[in-house]
Amino acid sequence: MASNKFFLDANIFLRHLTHDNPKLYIKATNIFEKIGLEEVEAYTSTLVLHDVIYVLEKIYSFNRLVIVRDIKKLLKIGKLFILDLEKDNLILALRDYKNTRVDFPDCVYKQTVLENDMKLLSFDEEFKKIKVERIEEI
Amino acid sequence: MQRLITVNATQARQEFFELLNQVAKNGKEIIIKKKGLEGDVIMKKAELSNLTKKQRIEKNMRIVRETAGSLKSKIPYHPNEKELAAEIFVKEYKKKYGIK
Repeated sequence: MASNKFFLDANIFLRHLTHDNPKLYIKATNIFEKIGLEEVEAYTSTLVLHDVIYVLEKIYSFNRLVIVRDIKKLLKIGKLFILDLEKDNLILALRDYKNTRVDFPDCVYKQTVLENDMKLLSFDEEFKKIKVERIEEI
Repeated sequence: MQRLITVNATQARQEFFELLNQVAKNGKEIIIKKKGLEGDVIMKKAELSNLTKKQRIEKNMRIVRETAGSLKSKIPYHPNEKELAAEIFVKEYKKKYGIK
């Protein structure tokens, strides 16, 4: 039975919220629509939300008020869950971090996906460096 | 913290009350696998929401519509936004702790 569980990377949130790249915006918003329709279950983590908030504030100069307003709304979608890792899996993520040039959070996302039998939704091609299957749409 | 716990049917039987507590008190979901079963079995907390599925979907889709493109920036899309954010983080960290 194919898994209908997906892990959302930061860029899925960013493109949906900002509509600054039309092609990726359509893909990202379609993903949120599928979650909203309860066709799939989606997971993300506090690390992802940190990335989303940091990029929105530091790169795109949004103030905290609007960032929090919209992140809070998205977190109210019923089939969007927060998921973090146990220590043993963090140690595996550290191994990837040591052996590659990939950022630590991405190594954590890989382990989260593997541990929980999920598919990774991301527009970031860096994931191929740590050999994790990545899809851009569902 | 890990939300999903996967066990086989024997473990589920032996540790039933512990798993029940994990679901009831910690909001975990237990996936039970058994050889010969067509799909896995999930043990999870019942949703207490009074909303029907239709109402939940309407609420969800309202959120999706409200947040779609809701943040308008004058700054254009940066494909390398993550790297730029990391550079800013390093600069701010050095400034905060007086590192040159």
